[in-house]
Amino acid sequence: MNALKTKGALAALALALGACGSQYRSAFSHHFLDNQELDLAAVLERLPEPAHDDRPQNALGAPIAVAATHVEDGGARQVVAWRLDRGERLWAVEVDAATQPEILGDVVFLSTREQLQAYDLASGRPLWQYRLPDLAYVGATRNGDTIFWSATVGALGGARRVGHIVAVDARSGAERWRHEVQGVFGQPAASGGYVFVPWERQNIAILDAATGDELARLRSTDDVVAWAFDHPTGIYYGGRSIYRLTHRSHSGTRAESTHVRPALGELPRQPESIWPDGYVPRPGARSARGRIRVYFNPAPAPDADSIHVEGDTYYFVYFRYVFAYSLDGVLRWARILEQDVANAEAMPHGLLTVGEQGRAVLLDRDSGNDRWTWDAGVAIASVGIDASGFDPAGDGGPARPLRQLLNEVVLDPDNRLVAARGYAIARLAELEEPEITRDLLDLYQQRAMPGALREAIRQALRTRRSGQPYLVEALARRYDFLQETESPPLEAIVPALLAMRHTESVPQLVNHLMNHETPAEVLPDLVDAIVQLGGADAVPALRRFLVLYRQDSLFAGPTEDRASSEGGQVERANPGARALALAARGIFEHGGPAGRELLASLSAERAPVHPPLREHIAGLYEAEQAAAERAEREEEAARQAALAAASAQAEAALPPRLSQEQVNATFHENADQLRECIADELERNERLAQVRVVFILENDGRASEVTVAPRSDELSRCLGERVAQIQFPRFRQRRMRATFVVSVRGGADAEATDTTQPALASRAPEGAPWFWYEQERARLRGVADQVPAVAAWWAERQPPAAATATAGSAVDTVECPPGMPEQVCRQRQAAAASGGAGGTASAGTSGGPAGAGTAGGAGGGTSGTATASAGGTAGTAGSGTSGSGTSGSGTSGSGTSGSGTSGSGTSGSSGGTPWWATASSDEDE
Amino acid sequence: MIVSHPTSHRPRAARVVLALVAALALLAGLAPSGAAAQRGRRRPTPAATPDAEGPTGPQPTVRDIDTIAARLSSTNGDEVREAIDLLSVIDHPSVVPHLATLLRSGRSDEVTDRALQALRGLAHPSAIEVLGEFAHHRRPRARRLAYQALAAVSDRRVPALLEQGLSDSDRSVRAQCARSLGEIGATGSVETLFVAFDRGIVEAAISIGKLGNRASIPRFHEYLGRVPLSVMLSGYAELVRRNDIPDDAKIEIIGRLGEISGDMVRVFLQRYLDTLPTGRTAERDRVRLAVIETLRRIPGHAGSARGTTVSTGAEGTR
Repeated sequence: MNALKTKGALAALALALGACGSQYRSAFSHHFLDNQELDLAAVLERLPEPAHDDRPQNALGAPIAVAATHVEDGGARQVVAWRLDRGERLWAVEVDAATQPEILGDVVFLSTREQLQAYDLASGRPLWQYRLPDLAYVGATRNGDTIFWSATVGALGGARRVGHIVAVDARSGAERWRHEVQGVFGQPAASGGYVFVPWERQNIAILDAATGDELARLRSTDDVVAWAFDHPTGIYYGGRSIYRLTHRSHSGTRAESTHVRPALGELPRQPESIWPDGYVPRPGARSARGRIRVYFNPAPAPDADSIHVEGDTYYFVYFRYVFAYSLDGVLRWARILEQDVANAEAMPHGLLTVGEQGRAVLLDRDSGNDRWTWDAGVAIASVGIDASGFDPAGDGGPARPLRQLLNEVVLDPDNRLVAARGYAIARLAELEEPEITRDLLDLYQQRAMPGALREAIRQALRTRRSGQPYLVEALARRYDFLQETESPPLEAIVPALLAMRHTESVPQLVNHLMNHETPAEVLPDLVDAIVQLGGADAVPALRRFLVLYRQDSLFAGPTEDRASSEGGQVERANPGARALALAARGIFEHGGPAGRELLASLSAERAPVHPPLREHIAGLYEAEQAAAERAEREEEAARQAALAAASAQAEAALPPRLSQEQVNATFHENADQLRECIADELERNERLAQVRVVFILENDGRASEVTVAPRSDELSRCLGERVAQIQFPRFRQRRMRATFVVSVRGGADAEATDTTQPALASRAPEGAPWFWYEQERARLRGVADQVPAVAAWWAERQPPAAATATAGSAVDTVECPPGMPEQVCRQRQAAAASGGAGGTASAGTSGGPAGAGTAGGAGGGTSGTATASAGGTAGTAGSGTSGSGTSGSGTSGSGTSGSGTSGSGTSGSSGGTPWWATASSDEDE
Repeated sequence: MIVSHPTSHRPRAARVVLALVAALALLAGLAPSGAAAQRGRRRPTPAATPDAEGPTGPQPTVRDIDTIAARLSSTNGDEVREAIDLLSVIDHPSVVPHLATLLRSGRSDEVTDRALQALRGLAHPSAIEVLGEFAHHRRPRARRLAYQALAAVSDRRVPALLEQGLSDSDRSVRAQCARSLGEIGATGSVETLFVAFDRGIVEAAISIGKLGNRASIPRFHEYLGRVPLSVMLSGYAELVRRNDIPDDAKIEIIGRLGEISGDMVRVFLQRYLDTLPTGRTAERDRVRLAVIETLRRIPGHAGSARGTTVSTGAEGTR
């Protein structure tokens, strides 16, 4: 028994907890996953199919308006219901409505200061009341027999933020469920057994209408959810954009959701939301809130990816002005109504408006004309309308030109609505008819036109690109006291003409410049326009103006706004002085030498000119000079930059290190400096046969740490100093070691030094035995050892000129011997092309056995390997390419052997290494 | 008999009005009658004469013009002003181009005004062109001086230029032109002067009085009650003084003024009466009699029904 009791108690507790959970914890949890595709799909599954909004949603099925009246003489306020199609007053009850009455099926729902009240739609009989302490009612919706209402604290900010969403029986007010959260709720929407609750301006919680459990949640990740409403075509939500609830909505992003952003451009007092903010109750008393808003009515869309609007029209209401736009934002018409619009409803054929004095007007969608009007004869504070499908017979008649309609708006004397009138000016200026330019001028000259609108017209005129004749025509007017004519509005015309680049108007502008009736404030703009449009042609007029008034008291004062020395206040420029300064600038720019001469005289120290003007003129010269200097500096900077770029490019193009051929070539260019050192050493050392120079090359081309062999002090000092003075080509590597060898000995015996088999081959007698080479080599070595000291070659004749052959010619002349591998041949040709002498030197060194060339080189050379290499190259380069090239055989000079002269290779030195030197280098780093 | 009202017994407003009327009458009295006599009159220009207190050198002559004109280009304002004064003393048409060049070269207000005054003294038609230009100068005083100088020139183009000045936005310029039209006797400008009077240029009243004919008088009467009486009286003062206006017209004017009555009218008529000739013919002067009669009818007058006396002048009381 006890056990049974215990079990029963536990079950009751579990039930209680479960009930508690469903009531307070089944929704708006932070643990609930949002934007779940499956959750949303389940909801969409049960939503009704979209249908046309072609009949009222209320229980009477008739177009109904329920208004809270406005009583100006202190009487009691009422809520009154009308049937619009009959013009019939259904009922009226005395109640001080704090919010706009809402028509929810068969119930009229509103709030007073402390409670919610429900009335029967048909009779006005009170149904039920609900106390609402400390809470601000936000809005309600209905689905079936349940009304869902939300109330909140702190919707507009504040430390305390509490939101309530409550489901009650529509007829009895009995509560079915409720949620209270720490957050703010917007007005809910309901459809298909779901309640859609905007929450914290970012979420929409989708609740089960029967239980209040949250079934799905949408969260916008990149937009604001300011409102939501249900409609026969679907559930809509959004902020400045309109979203429709579709299977794409689970993305939570604007791009991926089904949405549209009405292209209405910049509206006056731009509404923050395209639909009234769902978090703020619609006031029941008169208020400016809601008087500026956009109206539209969704239409069924053929697919899930689009949103359609009834009549393809958006309406923008600004108190008592109405503007209608096509979907792409093109203004169709504008209307002025007699009364400020308390509320309106967009319908397929137009916009039904209810004015604050009770006048209802159905504006035709296409023309803006009245299709139907009715006057309730009651001052209205707020009104709820349910008139879908209301289409009274009647035709709006033909549409009037938009130009005319906008002119009427601009001319409307209601100075509360200046912003919208300015908006109409801007839209008027966008139209292309030339006559609009005249309209704008006429509007500008309306004496009652507020300053803000005059400025708007000035700006609008600047944007005009047609109607110049009207501006020019206006320019012809003159002030005349007797005739009572005013000066034309130059402050509006001149900038417009300038924007249009209307050069033909310059003479008339000049007339105004010289007319004393032209207001001084306009002079700067006038002069500026004359300068810009007239150019050099306007200079005479500018000169007259400048000269005439340069010292006049009316034109004294600063030419520019400037900070005063006292108190930092801005000292405004005198318009006259400013005009003179602009004229001076115009003369400076377009006046040529004569103009410059005039200005120079005016800027002189004691010239009879107002000091600020003199300073301004002097400043023109200084500015020009400064500009010239700046240009020069920029040019120099550009040049330096180009040089730097070229240098960087050249740096990048430098070789990593110098090739031996480049080292050789440098020595050849500086042979004269070295010659004396070696000649002196020859005098000291008759047996000197070779001088070897080893040194370090820095990458900037300087040589250092020069060592010389043989180690003669004199020779080392002499060569060390002179080699250090040689400027070698630059290279990228930081430093390298290089050598250079000077072969001093030469003559007939020199050939003996080359005992290579190829060198000997040319001299081998026909049929020589295989050992002939060894014998000959031994013989030659013996001869060399016995060679007596001889004078150096330059003791007898001058050294050859530097090699001059171009790389191209070298390539042309280098021929590969038969049988040489093609790759080797190419390398040889490339070496010849790149290095000139150097390339040939290496070729000579390595490829001496090049037939007649080698022979020729050997014959003509006086100096060992160098000679051989030169000859070799020349030989391989092919005889006759250089003809009687002087450097090769010529330098062989003392070459006495017939082979030297016979070898056409001697001429090849034009493309090869000079005869007197060869060198090698070793990589150091 | 002498009219002797202690002014201290009059109301303050009346004293102010009387002073204004007296000033207007004095102005009218100073202006010589006969508009035609005004045309082309050469006026000495005090500002354009050499310093009377300084050492007097030999009088400059035409031969000195170039020498003096060279000083006009000086940057020293005093030197320029002195040169202008010397040129104006030479008083020869060949001075005009130099002054015109000076004006067009754009100088300080003082120099510009001095040169315009010098041209006014020269009063030569060759100055019309540059004066016409300066009638559009942005500084109102320069325009006013230009119109004054134009008015001094005897040329058929001048009235049209002065009429143009009536359309100026500056009140003082309009007033100057309205006065000048009367002074030069531009009878062809009466219609324009009426338009100007209609537009509130009160100075036109005097000129209308000087230039208008018999037919202008009824039209002028229409402004009675619409413009201040002092303004109307300034025009009437000119009309009644003119010899070419018939006595009937003058008597009509006096009668209209009698209808208005008041201290201002009384003082006006009294002063007018003082200007009328006295002597044996005075007894038969219908205008004089009309004035006397009107004065008698004006309430509060010494000779009115309330027992005050009228100074007729004929009794040698002045």
